[in-house]
Amino acid sequence: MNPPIRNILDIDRLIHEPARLIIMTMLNVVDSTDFLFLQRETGLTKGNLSAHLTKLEEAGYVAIEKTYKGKIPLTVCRLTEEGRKAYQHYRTQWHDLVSRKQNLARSDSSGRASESKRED
Amino acid sequence: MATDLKRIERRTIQYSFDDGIWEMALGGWVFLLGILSLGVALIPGKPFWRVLGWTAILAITILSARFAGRAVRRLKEKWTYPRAGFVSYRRPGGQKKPRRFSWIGGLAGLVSALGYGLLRDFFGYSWAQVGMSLLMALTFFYTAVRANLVRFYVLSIFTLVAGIFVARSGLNALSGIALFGCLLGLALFASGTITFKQFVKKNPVLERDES
Repeated sequence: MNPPIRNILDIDRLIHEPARLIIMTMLNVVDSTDFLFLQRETGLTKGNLSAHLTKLEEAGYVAIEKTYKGKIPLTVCRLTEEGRKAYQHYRTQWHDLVSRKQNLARSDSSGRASESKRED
Repeated sequence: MATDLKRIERRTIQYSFDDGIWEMALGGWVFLLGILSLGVALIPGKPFWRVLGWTAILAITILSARFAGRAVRRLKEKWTYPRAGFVSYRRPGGQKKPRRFSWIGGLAGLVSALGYGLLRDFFGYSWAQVGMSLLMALTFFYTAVRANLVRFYVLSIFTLVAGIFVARSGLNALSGIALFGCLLGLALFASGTITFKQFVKKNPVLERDES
């Protein structure tokens, strides 16, 4: 298997799913946040958000805690150390893939340009 | 995709400014210090009373900063979290709060003292006010860029204009800086209040069902 294909297959699919990628990106910026904030900002339904959070929690990427802030009951979510590392790794992998693709496109177009010159 | 993720990160940072509570607290604090400093700067007579006045202001500065932090937390618990959700931001470097606070305070004091001394010796008194306003304007500009907030660009321009206005007004350095504090405090408070009113209007309290 050639390296670019292996790199694509190595991408963490749990994070790559759009809704979970948004959740992970938000959680990466903050220390912790609650369900309401995530729901409002992502626009997901309660059930949908809950399902994604459960998947991330099962993978050990997110820690969920039921607590109180003053008198308000909160479901607080935060990235675990493992989750933070996985997210950073995902971003690096994705960045590498995109830059490799751009380099390939550039070399392709320059190759085509030199071929057309030769034909002329 | 990288741009979209950056946008999500920015929006998450921007959220902390959505309710205007920080601006109101900072504005109130700066205005209080400005008005007290103006009072002390205008005390006639013996220098002893002025020294006493500045010492009292220093104590009030430290105490009120701690109080403002608590007040912001309480206000957010009462008004923001039930409406738009709770967010706690990461502390850069993971240092403990008091240690970080003393480092920042110490450094800010040292830079201000050095800057003030240099500006006074080389350019004359009025440049101290322009320098201070430039520093504040840059801080607001940085916040505006980082969180993509238009009102902070406006605050940045206002700060610079107020600094130049005070510098040209012919007041001595301390009175000028105190007046600048009052103007900036009022502007911040007004901006915060307008933002807060809009936030409360746009975001009714939501029923929580997180089971």
